[in-house]
Amino acid sequence: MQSWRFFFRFGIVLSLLTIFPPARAEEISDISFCLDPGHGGDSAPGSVGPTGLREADINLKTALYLRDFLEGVGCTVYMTRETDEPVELAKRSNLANQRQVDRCISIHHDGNADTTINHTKVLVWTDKPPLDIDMASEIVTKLDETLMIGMATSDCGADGVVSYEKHMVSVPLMPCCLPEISFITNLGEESRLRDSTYLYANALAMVILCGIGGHSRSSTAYAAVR
Amino acid sequence: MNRCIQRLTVAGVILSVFCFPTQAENAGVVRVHFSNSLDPDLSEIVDTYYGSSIVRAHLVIDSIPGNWFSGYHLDYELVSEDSSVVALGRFHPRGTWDMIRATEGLAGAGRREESTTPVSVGYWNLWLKDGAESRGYIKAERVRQDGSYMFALADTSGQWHEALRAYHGGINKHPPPPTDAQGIRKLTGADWEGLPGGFIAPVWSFDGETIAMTRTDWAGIWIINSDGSGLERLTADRSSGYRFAWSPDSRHIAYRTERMRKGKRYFTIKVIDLDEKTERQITDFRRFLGTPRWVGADGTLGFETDRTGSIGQAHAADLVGALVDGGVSDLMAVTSDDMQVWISSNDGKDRVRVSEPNERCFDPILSPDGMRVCYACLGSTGGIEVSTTDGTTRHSLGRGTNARWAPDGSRLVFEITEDDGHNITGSDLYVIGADGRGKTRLTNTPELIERWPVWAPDDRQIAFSAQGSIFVLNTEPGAYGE
Repeated sequence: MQSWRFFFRFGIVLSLLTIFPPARAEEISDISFCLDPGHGGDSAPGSVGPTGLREADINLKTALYLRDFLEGVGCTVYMTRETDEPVELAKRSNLANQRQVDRCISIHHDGNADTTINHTKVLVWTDKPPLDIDMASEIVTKLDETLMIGMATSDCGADGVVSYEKHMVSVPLMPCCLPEISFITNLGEESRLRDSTYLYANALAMVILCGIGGHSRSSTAYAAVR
Repeated sequence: MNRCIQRLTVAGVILSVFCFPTQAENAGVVRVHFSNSLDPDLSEIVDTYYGSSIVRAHLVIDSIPGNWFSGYHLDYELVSEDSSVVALGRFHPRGTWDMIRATEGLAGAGRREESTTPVSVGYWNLWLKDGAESRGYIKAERVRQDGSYMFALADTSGQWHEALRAYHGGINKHPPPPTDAQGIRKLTGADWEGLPGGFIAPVWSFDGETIAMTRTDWAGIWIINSDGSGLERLTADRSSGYRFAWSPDSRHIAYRTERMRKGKRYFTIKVIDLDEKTERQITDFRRFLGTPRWVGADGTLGFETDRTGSIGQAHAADLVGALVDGGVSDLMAVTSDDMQVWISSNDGKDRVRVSEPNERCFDPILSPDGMRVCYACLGSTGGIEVSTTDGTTRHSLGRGTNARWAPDGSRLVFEITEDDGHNITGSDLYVIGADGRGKTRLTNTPELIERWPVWAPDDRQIAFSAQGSIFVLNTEPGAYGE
């Protein structure tokens, strides 16, 4: 049953890629990224699933797949970490700012004591220009279409987009967002993240890429009306 | 289990605040009850004073291990002085709230509110109404920059009184500001015309008379005299506050600003004349442009022109007619696209790599005498590194960020931050010799997050930002890192 669901979702991802790929690759090839896999190192595992899966590990896997996809379409990508290692937040934002990237995406999974909770959301800081919300909205829409776990209630006018002043969405100079992709503390979700790590991470990465592609197009529109 | 409790201590605190000005005969005391719903042993009760009529409330942050921000709510309980409960309610983290129960005649109203107070953005407000009349309220605000929450109580005139702050790592009533007795003076508060956020990243002019700084969104440059007078904004250009550069004559500031076109960032460099209060753009808009550095006494600016670390120059001589010698270097330090740090002459020639090939390093800053360069490296062994500019000698200074050179190039001041993976929860300042010896802690204030230290040109003071304000710390010349 579970594998049926997975292949169904994967099918949606492939469908999205079928619909958009050439335009997306063309439009984002000149955009540079800073990818920030949240947490890391023995002392900072992030949220931990019911059977011990660490958020830091799944964040890193997702980010590495996403990096490969982005570099594959010609983007320049800087990673705040490439292994399971601690990196101070101050250094993460410094890297994004110093390397002059166009977008910064800090990848996280959520957690809650209630193991039934599971939804997706993307955090932004609304003191920043609207491009952040634009990107977050595109990404969370694609995540929702694929994961089908529902979206968090929004407080800034875009479904699934939540304003919260976290360091990696408020300090970087460029448009940035922080996807909390799903709840690793949800038993079923943890199982999916663990048992189909490769494909699932691939799917997530592609989904986010779809989101970025959509963002690229809509930001063009945004610039035009501005 | 211990780890669980530890996280609970850090992430899940419990707060209680109360204010309820309906009973004028009540004593002016607010009972602040900190407790932890998952571990009652971590509870604490603190009294603070407020106004003339107070009831007790009990706010509980029901948090979970490892995740401060998600899935919690605040339960509050307003208790009158005779110990009767007058209201029960719950705040939700996204700005909604429920009045669970209230005594007859009371009604509640809550809303999310964007505050214009200097250092914070409001999230939750609660009004308690007796009939049509608003009788008082509680406000919980997220304080920017340090990631704390401030709980404030309002009296019936609308005046706010800070009751306590809750930090990720604990709770403090009224964080004590640094005082002159500690050798620290406050140069300016966080406020500027109601803008959100506060001041950060101060930089001394070469003559030591002025400090330039920016705000938390990096949009703009402000200057203030070193005695704390004359605060003014020079520009509001986007990103202009990031790594701007004073000219050696202290009368000009070069900065990089940007604009978005079709979703991409384009950069240019401008120079502000402080006497004329004019600014001039000295490059066209480019997809990549490093922050400027004064590399010649004739008003020449150097900057990176691409991700490989190529160097370009532009002249601002028509604006800068009185630059003095000193404060400029014949060298440039750049980062290449493979995250290596290089030193070259300021025209880009004679390039020497100073970082290790197996490391990922960035953000190089030359010492004032041009003899050394400090930079940041990523990875579990990465920290602040210092190399001689010929690449022959290297020292690892350990953990830290935002290192800045002493005027004589013998020491560095830097910050060591703590974070919870989402926000910075603590930071203190340190000084260390360029050879890695003599590490000395300058501040030890759990209630303040000191960041962005920078040395004064006279070697006697260090400016830094904390909680959106700019402070100056007095030091003795050569007192550290010997």
